[in-house]
Amino acid sequence: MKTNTCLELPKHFSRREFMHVGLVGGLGLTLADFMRIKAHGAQKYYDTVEGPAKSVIHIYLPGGMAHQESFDPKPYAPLEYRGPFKSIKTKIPGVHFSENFKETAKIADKITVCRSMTHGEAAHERGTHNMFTGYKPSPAIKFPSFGSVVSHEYGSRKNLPPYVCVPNVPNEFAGSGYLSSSYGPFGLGSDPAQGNFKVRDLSLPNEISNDRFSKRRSLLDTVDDHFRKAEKSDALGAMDKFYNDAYSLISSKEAREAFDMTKESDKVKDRYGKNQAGQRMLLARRLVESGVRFVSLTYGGWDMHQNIEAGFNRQGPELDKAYAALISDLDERGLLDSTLVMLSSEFGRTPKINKDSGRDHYPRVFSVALAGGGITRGQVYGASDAFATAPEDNPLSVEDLATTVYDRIGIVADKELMAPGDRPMEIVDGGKVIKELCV
Amino acid sequence: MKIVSLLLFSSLILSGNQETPVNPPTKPEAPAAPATAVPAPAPAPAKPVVIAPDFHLEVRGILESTCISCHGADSQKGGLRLDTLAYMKKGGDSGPALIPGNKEESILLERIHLPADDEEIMPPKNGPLNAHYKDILDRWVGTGATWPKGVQLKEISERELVLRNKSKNKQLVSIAAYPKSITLKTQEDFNSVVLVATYSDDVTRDVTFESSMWLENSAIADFRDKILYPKQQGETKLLAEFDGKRIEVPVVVTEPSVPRPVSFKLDVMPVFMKAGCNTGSCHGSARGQDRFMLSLFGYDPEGDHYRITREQGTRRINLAIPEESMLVEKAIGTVPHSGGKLFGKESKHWKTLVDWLKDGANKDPKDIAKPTNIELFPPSALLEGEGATQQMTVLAHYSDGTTRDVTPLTVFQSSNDVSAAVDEKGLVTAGSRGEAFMMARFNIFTVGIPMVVIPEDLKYQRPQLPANNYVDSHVHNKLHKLRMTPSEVCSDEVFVRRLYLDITGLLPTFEESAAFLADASPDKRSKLIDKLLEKKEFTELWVMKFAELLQIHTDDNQGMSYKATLLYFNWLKDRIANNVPMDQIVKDLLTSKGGTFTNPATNYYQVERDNLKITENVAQVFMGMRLQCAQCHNHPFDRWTQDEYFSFASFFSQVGRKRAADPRENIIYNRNSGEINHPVHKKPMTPKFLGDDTPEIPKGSDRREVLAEWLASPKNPFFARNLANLVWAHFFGQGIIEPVDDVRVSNPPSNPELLDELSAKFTEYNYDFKKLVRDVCNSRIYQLSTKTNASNESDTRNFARSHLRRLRAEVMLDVISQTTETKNKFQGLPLGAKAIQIADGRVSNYFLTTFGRAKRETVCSCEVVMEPSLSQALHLLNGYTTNNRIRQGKVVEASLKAGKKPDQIIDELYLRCYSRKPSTAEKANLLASLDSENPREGLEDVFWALLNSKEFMFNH
Repeated sequence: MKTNTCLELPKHFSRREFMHVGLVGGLGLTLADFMRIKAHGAQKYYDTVEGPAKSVIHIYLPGGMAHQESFDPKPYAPLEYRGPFKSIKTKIPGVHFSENFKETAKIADKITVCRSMTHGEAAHERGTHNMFTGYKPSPAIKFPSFGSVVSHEYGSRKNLPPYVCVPNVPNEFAGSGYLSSSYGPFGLGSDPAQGNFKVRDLSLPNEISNDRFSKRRSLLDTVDDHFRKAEKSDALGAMDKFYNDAYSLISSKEAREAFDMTKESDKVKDRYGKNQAGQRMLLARRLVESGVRFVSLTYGGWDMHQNIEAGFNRQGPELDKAYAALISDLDERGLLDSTLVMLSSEFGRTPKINKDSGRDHYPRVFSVALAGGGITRGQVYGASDAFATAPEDNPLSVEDLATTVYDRIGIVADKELMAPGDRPMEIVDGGKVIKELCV
Repeated sequence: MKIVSLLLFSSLILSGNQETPVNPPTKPEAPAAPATAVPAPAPAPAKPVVIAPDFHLEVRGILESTCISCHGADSQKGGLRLDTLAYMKKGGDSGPALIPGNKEESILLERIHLPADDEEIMPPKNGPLNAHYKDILDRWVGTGATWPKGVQLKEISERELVLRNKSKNKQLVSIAAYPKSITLKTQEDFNSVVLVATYSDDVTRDVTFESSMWLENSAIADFRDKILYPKQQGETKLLAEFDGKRIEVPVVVTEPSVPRPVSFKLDVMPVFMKAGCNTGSCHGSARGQDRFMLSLFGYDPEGDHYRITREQGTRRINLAIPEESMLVEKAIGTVPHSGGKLFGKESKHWKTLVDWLKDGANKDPKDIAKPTNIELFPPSALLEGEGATQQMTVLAHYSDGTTRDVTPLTVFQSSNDVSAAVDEKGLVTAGSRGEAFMMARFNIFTVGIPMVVIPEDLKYQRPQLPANNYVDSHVHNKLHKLRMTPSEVCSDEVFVRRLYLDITGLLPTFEESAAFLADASPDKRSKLIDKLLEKKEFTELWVMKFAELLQIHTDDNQGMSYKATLLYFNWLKDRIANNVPMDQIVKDLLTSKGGTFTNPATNYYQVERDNLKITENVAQVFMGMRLQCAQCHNHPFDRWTQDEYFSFASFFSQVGRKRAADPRENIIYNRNSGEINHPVHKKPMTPKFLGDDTPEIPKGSDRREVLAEWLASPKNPFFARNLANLVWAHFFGQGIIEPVDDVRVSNPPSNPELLDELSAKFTEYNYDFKKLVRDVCNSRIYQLSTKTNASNESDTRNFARSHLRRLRAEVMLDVISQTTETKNKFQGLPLGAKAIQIADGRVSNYFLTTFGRAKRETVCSCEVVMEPSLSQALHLLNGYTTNNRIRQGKVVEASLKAGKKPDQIIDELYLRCYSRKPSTAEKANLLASLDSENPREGLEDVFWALLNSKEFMFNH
């Protein structure tokens, strides 16, 4: 099952049907496919392949960025809906962004804006859950984040951890959910925007030679042996796996240099902006360039219940400059086609400006920007209505977004992973690949 | 075809064994059931005598599996029902289906004997019946078609039939009917009944349709399809009988001819909930859907009434032709509706809406009864075998003392569809092995019951286990339901390390563990527990845990100076060290007044200054509940309403804050006035205890005093429960409710009986948690090994074995300091202080942050992170915490200087880190790696390896 073009699976494709021998011919499965399905028992199984998106950069704006003040301005709406900002033309004919996104407007022909993103969760933690996992929150089960699923499906590349969070693990839903915590993210623990930025403990201490370190490793194997044989637990397995990841990282100079911001020139740093947005995105570029599969970074606080004008004036320009620089830089380096950049937030904000000159939580419709990695260029997908109150065209659900992103990576989101209690769970439940978003 | 062959098989077996019946048929005491007696042994075959077949063993299965799906309560093809004898005799469009004793004129027999290609043959699918079945039915009709009294049949699946036959080998212990008594008031009232059988192995079965049920006086009420309808004022009994056991349900009927007008709140709003109209994804969203908004889960009935009847004129309703109201037509999908068709025309829900509109779409009278609570039945279930079913029923109680069966209006949900799925009617079907929690939501109430599903034919025998105390009995009972056997008790080496880490946050010293291991007395574990509880480290550990809950940290924005923080921390430490009971500490905090320096407890109101946030924190920390959602609307997953939120918040509306003379100090006082307005009706709410009564508050008194008096007392059931759960979670790595601060209906305890008794004991102990800790640690369950057996391998929530727990950040750093004999330096603390002694949440270091120390910025238990990460591995491998401390502490160097041999030093390093000696193999390998000329570097590397090992960083 190659997924170089968007592949939509038959909708009602249940586990039981899959197991039914009579269907083998009908679905175009070979006997080998069938045997593999059998080997995976009752789980729906698909091979994970290399898709067009070899890496993903997920830029997350915590708090809920207003769609009106960013990618979906409503210049013809009355002032209380329109808000304090003007709109500007972009590189896509006929499409306007808010004036807060001047630089992004110039590279709009490289990205795709989805203006019809929609879900029903208006609380921060629930909305965040949706946008990090592709699932609605459940009282019974913790779902893995996109990054952890990628980590589970592909493992590490070029000795680098597959899933890195810049600067820290942003929230409790960015973790591995029901998957083993060994698929959890590597949070850097320090911010690349700081002058003395350094990811700690990547290199051996000065007095420890490589020889001595390998001797230590074999001693550690000896003392660990008893416990490893006697005990079994997820935390234990995960700790072991992180030790192995650490050994790979420590032993590879190239891998360690991925985290070294001193290797970037001042000129490049200025291009992204010497601030949190700029340097985090620049580091994200370094990381995917070196082999990290999934980078998740956060910037700012977008929960603007009060004075949205001041809020955007403070944070908008840095985000705009950094994002435009990242997209252009990736493109110039020939990496954009293999790097999917997703810019999202837990929800948008209410159509009408409130009494405090802000906007409140609003999940009914908001915008997400996608670029590269097999996503179309220069497109607006879907639309909100005149006052940005509801999707008007092509509503984009959390499941559809997640399924499409997974498809671009090379993962069939209908595949089932095993949750505790031998409970197979689809990576995404019931989403479809949006063909219009795929190259 | 499987059904047929199976039936054939079982009947053959059964009829072949008639002399010594394995499964005696039901023997109702009802006099009208002579045919249920075991038939006489078959006479010699030469002389054919017609023997009446047994109804329960032979006849009913054929009818249930082949006829009732088309001719039962749900579907009546040809106007015919075959689920009771009366219906059979009454017949359908073609006349009576059956005339007892008259084979020739019974249409039932005529139809089953038609040729296979006849259009009229019955059953139309999978027919014709095999000869054996036809013969059974022939003989049954011919011998008078006996039908035990009070039996009504229901369609049954192949699986259910298999399970029913298997259950005949079980020993029935009791039967229970739900509800336990029934009152029917007014013409419209009705009530369904469920009968549950419990067997000797604790398995339960829904036997409602296998039993006989009848009314003692059928003039009082009608009983159809296991539902009672009022007929005549009076009292009677519903009698239910199953497998020789009988139970009575008292029935009272009042005002049977008085009609009950349709009420907006009591009848119409529940339809919105049941049909999903007012959920967050539809009209319950903050801005409604397609310009029509309903309050989320009905938190604002007045507003909903207005929006339906007045908003946009009267566009949504048509009082002249109620059936053509937009409200009605959208719901049944006769006009386009983005939500689709929700129910059919002429359905009960449709009728409710139309009847309400016919009456004039009125608001309810002011004094209308309100629902006060709901009950979900049965109280629990242990289902055996995939496909086993259990019908649930829901009874609502109203403020006027009446009850109603609200099962059809209840929204049902299962926490685990894979193990037990529930349909919209409340019918649960068992799936694969596991536990599920069934939730029912009606009006503002959500309740739930636990269900366990086990596979059939499981090889299991309940083990004979000693119980050290009540903890063990409750856990053993639960494990029995799950058919799990707990692990063995852990070794003394493991126990001593585990207990020291859990109670003192440090490892036992070499001498301490040696003394314990050498002690031969049988109660040495109890003695050690008592000894450790008296250590100051025990106090310090719990001060740290409470400091997290009280968010003790400096914060310039909140006016939390370092001085205030330290005073607050010391105040707490002082109280816990002096074993002041928890209720007293909480009362002191909640009612505190004065300067944040002079009375440090007042910092409770300084760390958080938003009174709504304080309301939420009080609920989360002292009751374990997250109220946040209810600030804006009724809680979607719990019982809390917005009204309750603001009634509770009113206790804190008069907290005053002002500056003291010292700019770093603040004064907390009672303002004696001030209200928080409810956001919907903009009026203040009267202070009301969360989930409890509205107290009398004399004018001029501090509302917080009234609250504290209730909150930290047995009157508030959540207080003791929450603290008991916190204590439990510390010793097992997870709470009985997990997360500990997310107590809600939809997140039930894994062992409610255990939690109930722990909280009862805690109350009995006058909130002295040292005593509770003693109970927990003395239990056999706490002392189990981590080693699993085949039955408990998959257990994560039921404490069938001990789980590995990574040491929390502070403890791990302290233990590293302890083993390396090095000292910590934290801001504001003397050199050599322990990490668990840090007063200020802001004070940290890279190690503590990386291993997940709480910053104390919120009260959430999720601030403490226990998951391993790559950063942790890198830091232990390359960071200063291991490398520098091994060199600074000079443990190896000192031992060598003292003339100890490498062999002995390795022994001591093992005891130091693991509380055990190395095995011969371990020691041999390690010794072989040493450079005999200069063993120091090699021994330090061994030490490094021990600090990096899993056995060191996990408590096991």
